[in-house]
Formats: sequence, C-alpha cells, structure tokens
Amino acid sequence: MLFTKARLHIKPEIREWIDEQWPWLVEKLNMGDLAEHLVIEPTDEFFPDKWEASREAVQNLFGTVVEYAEVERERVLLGLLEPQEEMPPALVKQDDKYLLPVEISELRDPTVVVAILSRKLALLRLLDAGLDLKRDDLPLLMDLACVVMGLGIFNANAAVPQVPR
Amino acid sequence: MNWPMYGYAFGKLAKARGETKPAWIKHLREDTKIFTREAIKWLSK
Repeated sequence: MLFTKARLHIKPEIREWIDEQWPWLVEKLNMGDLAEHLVIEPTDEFFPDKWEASREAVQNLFGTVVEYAEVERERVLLGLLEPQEEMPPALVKQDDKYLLPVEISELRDPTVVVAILSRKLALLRLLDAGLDLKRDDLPLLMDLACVVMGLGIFNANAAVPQVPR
Repeated sequence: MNWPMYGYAFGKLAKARGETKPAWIKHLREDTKIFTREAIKWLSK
C-alpha cells in the first residue's frame, strides 16, 4: 500500500497525559524553544572520553551528563555503591549538594550509566521546579522529562515493550 | 515509559524542533524508532 493512515499505538488517556505534561515540563524545566537545545546521541561526538569501568572514566562521564542536563556541576556528587539488596534512592541530599548513588554493577555499559544519571538529574531539576514527590505518575514524569531535556534516547533504549515502569 | 509512549514523546520532540526526519532517530532501538516515525506522521496531520 502506498498510502497508509498514521496511527498511534497508545491509549487516548496516555496520549492526553503526555500532551498535558509536555508543556508543563517545558515550562518548569525552563527549556524555552526545544529547537535551541541539543538532542544528546550515544556517539563519540557527544561522549569523546574513552570509556572504561574506572573511577576516572565514570567521573568524566558524570561531568558530561551533568553538563548536558544543564545542572550546576558543584551541586551534585557521584556516589558509587557496592550492589545493594534494595535499589538505592535516586538522590540523597547532603548539605547544599545532592549525591547521585549508582551501583558499580551498572558500570558495564556506559549507555546505561547515562540513562540512570539522566533520570536522577531530571528528578533534581523537577525538584528545583517544586515538583510534588507524592505524584503517582512520578516515574513516568521522570522518563518524559529526560525526553524534553534531550536525554531521552538512553532511557528509551533501556525501556520495556509494553508494561509502564 | 514503554516503547509506544517513548515513540509519541519523541514525535512531540521532533515536532517541537520542527523536524520531520530527525537525524537522532537512528540511535533509537528499532521498535521505538517505528513508533516514533508513526507519531511524527500522526502529529503532522
């Protein structure tokens, strides 16, 4: 068939949720014109530092993602943890800084590290914007915020087919 | 979010950036890429 109708594969209520949250996120994250922001790609151009599972390489990657997330570098610290039974918190407030805990078992794949850090940094920016942490849709909102911030490719490639996380 | 949700979100991102064939789409996994292309088409109606 030469001509096929475009169709969406999401329920109308999901589309409405995204349509409602999108302008709210653009405003709250102070993004302005999205065409003026980069869409971050998993390429050497965006991540020129050589990757290896070392503290130096992880810190370099952390600095790069913090920059792309438009968060002030001095506000955040990377915390590398041994694997835990329970998932570590997304953010830990330490005086005037935020610690971003990452389990060392996640360091095998740098794209996964970028996905994890992007989500944590999106949450930090949403906290700065006065987000209510009790919102039921918080996990979805963090994913959507990553897309708005231009960091969504990494989380999308780590996403699951159908069941919302 | 799941793949179809990401597809729609990326469709909105492309529209907001004035892109009909965004170069960055090639970095998405194949299934999400298909959902994104469908969303771009749907949003351009």
